[in-house]
Amino acid sequence: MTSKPVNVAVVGFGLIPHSKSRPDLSITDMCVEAYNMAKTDVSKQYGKEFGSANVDALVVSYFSDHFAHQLLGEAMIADAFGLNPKRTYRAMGGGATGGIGIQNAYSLIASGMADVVAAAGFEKMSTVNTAEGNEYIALASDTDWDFPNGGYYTAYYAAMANEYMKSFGINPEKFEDQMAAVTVKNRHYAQANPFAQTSLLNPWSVKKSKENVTGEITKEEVLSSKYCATPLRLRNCCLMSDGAAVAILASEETTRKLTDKPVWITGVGMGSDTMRPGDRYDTLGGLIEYDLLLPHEENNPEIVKYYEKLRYPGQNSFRAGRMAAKQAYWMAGIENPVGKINLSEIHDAFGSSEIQTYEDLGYCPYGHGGEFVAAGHANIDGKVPVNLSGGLIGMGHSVGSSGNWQVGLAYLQLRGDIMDVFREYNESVKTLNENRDISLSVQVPNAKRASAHSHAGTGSHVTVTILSNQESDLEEIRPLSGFPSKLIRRVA
Amino acid sequence: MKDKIKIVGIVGPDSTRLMGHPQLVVRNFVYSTDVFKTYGKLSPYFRALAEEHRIYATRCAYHGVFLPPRPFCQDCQTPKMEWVDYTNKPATIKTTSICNFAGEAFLDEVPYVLGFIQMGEAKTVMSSVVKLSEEKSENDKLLNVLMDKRRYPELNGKRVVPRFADKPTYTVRDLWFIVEDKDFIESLKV
Repeated sequence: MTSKPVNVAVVGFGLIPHSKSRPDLSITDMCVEAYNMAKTDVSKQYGKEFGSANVDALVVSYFSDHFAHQLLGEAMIADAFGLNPKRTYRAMGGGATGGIGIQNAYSLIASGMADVVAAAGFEKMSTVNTAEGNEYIALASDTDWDFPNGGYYTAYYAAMANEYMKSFGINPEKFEDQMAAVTVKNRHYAQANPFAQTSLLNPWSVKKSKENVTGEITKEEVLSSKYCATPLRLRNCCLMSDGAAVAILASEETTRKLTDKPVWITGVGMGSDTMRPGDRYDTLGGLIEYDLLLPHEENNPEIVKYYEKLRYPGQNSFRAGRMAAKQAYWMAGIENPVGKINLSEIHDAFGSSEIQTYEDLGYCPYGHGGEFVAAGHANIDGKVPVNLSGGLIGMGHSVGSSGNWQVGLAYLQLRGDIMDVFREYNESVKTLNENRDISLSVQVPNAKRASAHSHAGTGSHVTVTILSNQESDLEEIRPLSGFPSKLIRRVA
Repeated sequence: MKDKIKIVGIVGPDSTRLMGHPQLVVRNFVYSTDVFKTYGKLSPYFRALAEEHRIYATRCAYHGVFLPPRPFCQDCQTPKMEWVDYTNKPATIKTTSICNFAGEAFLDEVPYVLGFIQMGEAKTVMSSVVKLSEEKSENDKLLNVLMDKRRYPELNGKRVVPRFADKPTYTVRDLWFIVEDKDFIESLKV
């Protein structure tokens, strides 16, 4: 076990409005626009100009060389940011690319290897049509065993959703209603966010379409969209996007000089699972077998009894997500996330996976995620508000940047001025956008802690990052090298 | 360089998405490759499938049977794996999805079923195409009924039997499964 990590805070954030297509911006253009916003964001708090000279390393996260049609894109970003010859790293881990990028930037600072790090994420998916895009993404599944069978990500998640319904005895009418509730919620919150792809405030959103791609959406509209892969309908799926986001992270010492509103990273966790969803053993009592109970579950005999009889993970749950959550909570000293976590950004690639993830994150027992959203517990006034950004369904899924803006928007929530940031941006583009005003607020009052969940493959790797604006939480941080698990036998 | 690049369009400033930007050049090019990818130690599986219409799993003496086969045990990484003939083992659908949309390469095949098949005592399940009828138009019709009537979860748990391609491709496409339950299929026809 090592000593405590250096404390790390997020000190600034910037992003560009997400869109189905941004032909006006190349990949470097997108990143520099987000970077400039992030630098301005830090400068405002600092009271002096914060610039590239203040940054000592860069982590660039982008998923696909295919979409970008560019390998080594990070070199172009470092160049565009004026950071050469300083350190540049690339992070890549499927859908979790952005979350991994943030955690890599965190690790550089926490380990004492860097003081101020820029974490930039981007994806430009408009380079190909949607079917071709699905094929590109499917290349991130097993290309010998799953892809040639017509496998693509919607289908893998859909098959897992069917298994979930079977395991927990939920009929398709009910489950489709519950998944629709996820879309309705996320699309609703997206309307406060001018950077969201489905927001009417976003100048680059599609304004006229019969297919309800922008604005609020009703349950009926979700349920009348066509099936992509049963039980997932078109409007249960996230969106392909062009987008970029940049977060600036700094050590505690530097953070104190930059801002009087620090938002600390108090927990990071990462879990993995097999590439092929079919390779996950369906183990009776698997949650206990893999030592994945959360403290509040361990202390509840009824839940333990229920989990002893539950087959897990098989194809119905994301074990990597649970592992990531357990580590992040342990590191941050969180026993029960409900009540402690005031808002959560979840990788809602599909309505089904948002529901399954409530359970992995311990917001409700396994099998009850659908009820959780249907009862409004994921709403802004619920037990754990989820995806107030709009999520991947409302905000868009610019793969390499998604995990980045999840952390960035949660950071703005904890700073308490997310609506000021949204309003300021909206004012700057208003004339291009029929002078629309923001009429909805997604600021969680007095939010103390947030979690961001970034997810790859069918759960092949998942990151969970905990943010807090509570100084006292810094005392709770434990180094992850001491994480206790039956699955880890320490060398004696 | 071959003449692969062409400019497909000058996007005009009147486009609502472009917000009055000056004309933007979007270039189009074809990007294709010939890939030679080995199955490595799993090559025997694909030969047996293609040439003998047999399905082979691998077994670790300590950790059980794997299908898809693994050349090294998932649990202990030993190379001491035994090939076992699983062709005639009972097969059931663990879970499925009816794909009504797909990646580019499979768009002309929709609707089709991506299934995960449990065979014998295998610890893992294998993805495979599942059909309700060998007749494409009949299969489409039945799948549409399952979607229209929201009966798609009924596929899970059904017994299936393997079918093999006459003209092998040495891919997992040389194998698919067909649903045995005649009553179930009849119930979709009314």
